[in-house]
Amino acid sequence: MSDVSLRPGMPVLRDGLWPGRPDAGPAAQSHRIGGGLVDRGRTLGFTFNGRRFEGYEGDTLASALLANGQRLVGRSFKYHRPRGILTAGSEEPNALVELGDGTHREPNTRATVTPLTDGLVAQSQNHVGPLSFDAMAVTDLAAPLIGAGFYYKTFMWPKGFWERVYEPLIRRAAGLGRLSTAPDPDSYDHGYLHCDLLVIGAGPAGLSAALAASRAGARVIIADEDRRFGGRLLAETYEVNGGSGAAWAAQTAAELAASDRVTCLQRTTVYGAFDHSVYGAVEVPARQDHRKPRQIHWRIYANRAVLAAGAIERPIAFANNDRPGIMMAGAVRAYINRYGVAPGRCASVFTTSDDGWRTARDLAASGIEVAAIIDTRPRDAVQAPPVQGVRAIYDAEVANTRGRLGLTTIRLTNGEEIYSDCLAVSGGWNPSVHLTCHKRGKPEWRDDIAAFVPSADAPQGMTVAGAANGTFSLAAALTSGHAAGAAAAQELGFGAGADAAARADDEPTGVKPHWYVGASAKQGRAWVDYQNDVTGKDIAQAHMEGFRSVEHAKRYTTLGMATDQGKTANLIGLALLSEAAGQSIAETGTTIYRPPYTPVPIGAFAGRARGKAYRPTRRTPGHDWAAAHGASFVETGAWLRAEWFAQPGETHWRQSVDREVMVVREAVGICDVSTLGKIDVQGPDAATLLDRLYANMMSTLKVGRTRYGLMLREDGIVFDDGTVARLGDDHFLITTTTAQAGRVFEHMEFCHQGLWPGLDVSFESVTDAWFQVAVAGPKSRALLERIVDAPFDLSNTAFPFMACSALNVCGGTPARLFRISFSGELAYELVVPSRYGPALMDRLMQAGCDLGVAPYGVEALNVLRIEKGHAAGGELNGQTTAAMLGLGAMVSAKKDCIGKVLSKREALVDAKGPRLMGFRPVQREAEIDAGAHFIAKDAEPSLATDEGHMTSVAYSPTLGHMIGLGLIDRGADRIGEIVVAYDAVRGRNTDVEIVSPYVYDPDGGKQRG
Amino acid sequence: MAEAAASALAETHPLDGRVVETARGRLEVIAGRALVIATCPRSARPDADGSGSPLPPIGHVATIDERGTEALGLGALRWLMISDPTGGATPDDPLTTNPQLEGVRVVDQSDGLVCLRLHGEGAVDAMRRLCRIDVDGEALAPGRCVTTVIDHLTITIVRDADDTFRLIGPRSTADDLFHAAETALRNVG
Repeated sequence: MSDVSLRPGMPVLRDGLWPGRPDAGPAAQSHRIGGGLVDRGRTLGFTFNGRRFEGYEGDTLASALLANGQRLVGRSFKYHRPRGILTAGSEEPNALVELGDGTHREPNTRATVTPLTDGLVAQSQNHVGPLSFDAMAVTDLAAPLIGAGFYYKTFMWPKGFWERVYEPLIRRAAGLGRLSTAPDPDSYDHGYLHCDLLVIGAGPAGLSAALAASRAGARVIIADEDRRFGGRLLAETYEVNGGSGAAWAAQTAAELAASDRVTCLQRTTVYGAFDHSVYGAVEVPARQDHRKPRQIHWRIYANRAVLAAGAIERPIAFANNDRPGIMMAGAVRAYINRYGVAPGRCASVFTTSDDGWRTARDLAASGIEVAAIIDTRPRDAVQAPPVQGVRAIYDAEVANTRGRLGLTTIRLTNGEEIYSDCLAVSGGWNPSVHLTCHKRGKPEWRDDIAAFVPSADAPQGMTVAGAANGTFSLAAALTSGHAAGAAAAQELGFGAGADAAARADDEPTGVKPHWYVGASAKQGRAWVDYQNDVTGKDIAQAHMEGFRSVEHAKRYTTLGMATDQGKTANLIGLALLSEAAGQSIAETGTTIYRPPYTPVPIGAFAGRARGKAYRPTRRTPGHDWAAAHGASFVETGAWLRAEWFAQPGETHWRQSVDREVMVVREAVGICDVSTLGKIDVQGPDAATLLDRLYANMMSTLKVGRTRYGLMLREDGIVFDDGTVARLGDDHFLITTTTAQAGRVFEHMEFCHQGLWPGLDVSFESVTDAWFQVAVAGPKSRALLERIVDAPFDLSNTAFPFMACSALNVCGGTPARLFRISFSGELAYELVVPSRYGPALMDRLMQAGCDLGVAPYGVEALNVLRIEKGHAAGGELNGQTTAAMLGLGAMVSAKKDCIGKVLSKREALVDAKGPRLMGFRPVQREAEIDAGAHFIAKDAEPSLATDEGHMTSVAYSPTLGHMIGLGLIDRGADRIGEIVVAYDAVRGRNTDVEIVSPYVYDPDGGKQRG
Repeated sequence: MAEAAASALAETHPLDGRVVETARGRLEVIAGRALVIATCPRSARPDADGSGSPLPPIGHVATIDERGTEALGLGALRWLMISDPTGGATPDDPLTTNPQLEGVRVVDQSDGLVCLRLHGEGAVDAMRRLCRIDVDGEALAPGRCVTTVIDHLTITIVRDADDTFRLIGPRSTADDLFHAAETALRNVG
């Protein structure tokens, strides 16, 4: 260490850096000292705010910055106060930086848990101008005016200012780092892990638990957010089993890694405990290849869990306790012992516990000058041994500090000033109870350690060990971890294991709670929540203004609502609130702990489910064929269906659709209808099942015949429609609509398994197994005659309307043929195994070339069915009955079926109710809209005058004008009546005439021909 | 198709022989297999020793004849039968000749399902990225099968060996299944 003295006349900090760093080239790691666990043989270069620095493999960004003397790291959220590095872990509230650049830029990253990598690019955030001279720091001057609740009180008037002035200003000032607005170039993944025991945290307690359980034979997952297992053992000078604690941790980690029963997850944060013993975890792998996932979201299924997440050291609130250089005492030890970095050149320690004394000892042992230990306790309450050569001041407090961009001086309550560039603060430790509370468990207060500890209502199967349970000594951590691991294994039926816990000394851990230095109140603001800039005064003010509940005070002051969720702040806030309320901290209680424990990027939750993998896309066997023939596609549920096939010269979709409709009406069209649900039903009770499922009778259907089928829901509303074909005595094939295929299958499973398990019937979805093409138009028979294998007879006599049969086509291809029509034309649906789909389409096109064959899409299909008056999605909307659709007669009186009883409810069969009718504009050139409501010609539009609505519309090239289907009261009795189609959305009122829904070939002669 | 005869129509497969090879494994399409779903009436005795080997219980895979016909126990009295269609044999042949299985119902799924093989040292790690079922547990030990969900798709997983899995899923989403398995394999190395 350099012997630079921090006495009057000391050099002034520039840009938060100590002087002496070369102006060009990487800094010389001016604060690097001996020891530590970094690999000094591997130097890593990185930049911070464009300046080049060097660190070592094993450093974090925070330790590397400190090694280079960079204490000023960022600006605070609200007042833009200069901030440095407070901690050495994931609880860090201050040292938030932006990592990477361009599309890889990641804001609000904690420097304390960011492993240093070669070429790392980091920059400070939330300042205007240089970090050392942030123009927005002017807000700090206005602090007296913008305390707690400022926003709620201030932006109330004038009312018109909110959108134009206040909100834009607040939005510009708010936020921390900048998020790249470009798509995230990284990938993420997810996965699933299973184990007997999940150990959360790989400190002494966690390692002991994992070791005990794995040695007993249990499958163990041990996860830790750090890249290296060991927890506090890496940051302390403890001994375990007579050797160094870090060495024991390394040896134990090696044994665990070598075991095929143990999965070791470094750099993995278990962020939440969920139902059914499921834990969420995010792994941040060390990746060399940027094509690999940046993060992996794991769902861990654990029979048991041991929470060994340790504890978080808490600060003490005193005036200006936020200056760079003021750090947690445990963090100071971590930087010295683990990273070989001096957090300062002349340190002081402010403590309420024996922990501070250990810090002073480690500082002195590392050759760092220790100006003083300031202990709030009297001399006789201190159990820790004195530190030679270090001045101890008992019954004392730090009242204030100085140093614009970094600490230079501390002032005690007695007025004495001590020159220090580092102040190690220890206010005691808070067990990391968070995961024990994720299922609404409430932690319990323990006076002896002045902290909340897990209660008995932790998630089922979870036990807590070590510091997370309030046992702070190393020996207790090792013992309790071992016991928890062994007990979990034993509960799961594994042996007890013969090994004893590792040995260590029981160091003193006494603490005297001391939250706030009251004497500092008039000397400056005492920060409680560093990240959200909440002061002790803010909390007192919240209480004064009536926010008594801890939940209300939290929201009013924003205490604990930043990205660190108040890990270092909450307890001090509770203590101050309790003091203001004149009640105990136990009575005040905590706010609710919710996942995630640390921030989880949305990308990690999405995992692979983005872009192509966001959701599955179903493609028919004819998809590529359609694409090659110019199809535009439309999403129909998960399916992609050809919407129309644009031909050369067609510049508008209507041209394509009109042409396709006329091809079907005048020649022959072919349409891929493979998306229709197809369910194969077999067994002696197949007909009985179908009779019960469908409103109409199916048991009377003859082999080789097809019947339209209508299915009702339990409440009597139409559920789905389709066809039922009888392929054999005990063998049926039913089709469903594309949209309802899955639901119909589920319904069948429910009915069979739940209602009629005695029926001897089985059914399978065969939707994907078959390619189905509609061949429709007056020349469809002629086309099919060219591809069916002899001796199949397609004549009307041999194969009439609604017939079905197995046959061969195209020289031996097995097929099924159904003579059914959705278009109203002579039509068939030809079905072949899916592998032959594209070739069949080619063959049909070749065979029908001289007949004028053309493919048509779902848009033309829709026009054709509206012309024919067939109900589809707009009509089967979950609100219509068979009677409304004109299908009332299909509900068989001779048998029972699902929905029959409720379909007879009075209102549902009221003859005055809505009926499906056709509509055409009185002025034939007028346009009509689906969704328009029907009102009488002379009526004012209102709910009272609403008589129904238009369900589907299309332009009919056959008729030369638009047509529609719609539901209108007493429709069947009103043919010829003129009503208004009132479209409030588009502002269009059109006179329409009520007509039969069957505007094309109403007697069905064409389809039967 | 199990009932397919020679056809003049050309065949297409949605994945068209796709293969992915990484340092840790290989993903490939298994084509040309015949698959049927066989369901027995309650009166059947699939566990009895008829003319062929007994059909396996739920979650187990067994080879039931000398031609290598496989039976995968998918559910109560329900199996997926897989065989090589060379020579015109069908996967349900061993069933229809078994008197203990009278009344067996067969539904051809040769064109309804696609099958992928994931093989190699990284296969288990890749499966952990795909499958909610415990890859190291009893349910997916070699010789076992399970039907589960992978990336919204209902998939039957067969574990043929420690480092070999088959993924069987719907034809219409074959591309998505392949993409999921490929991504998982690439992501693990």
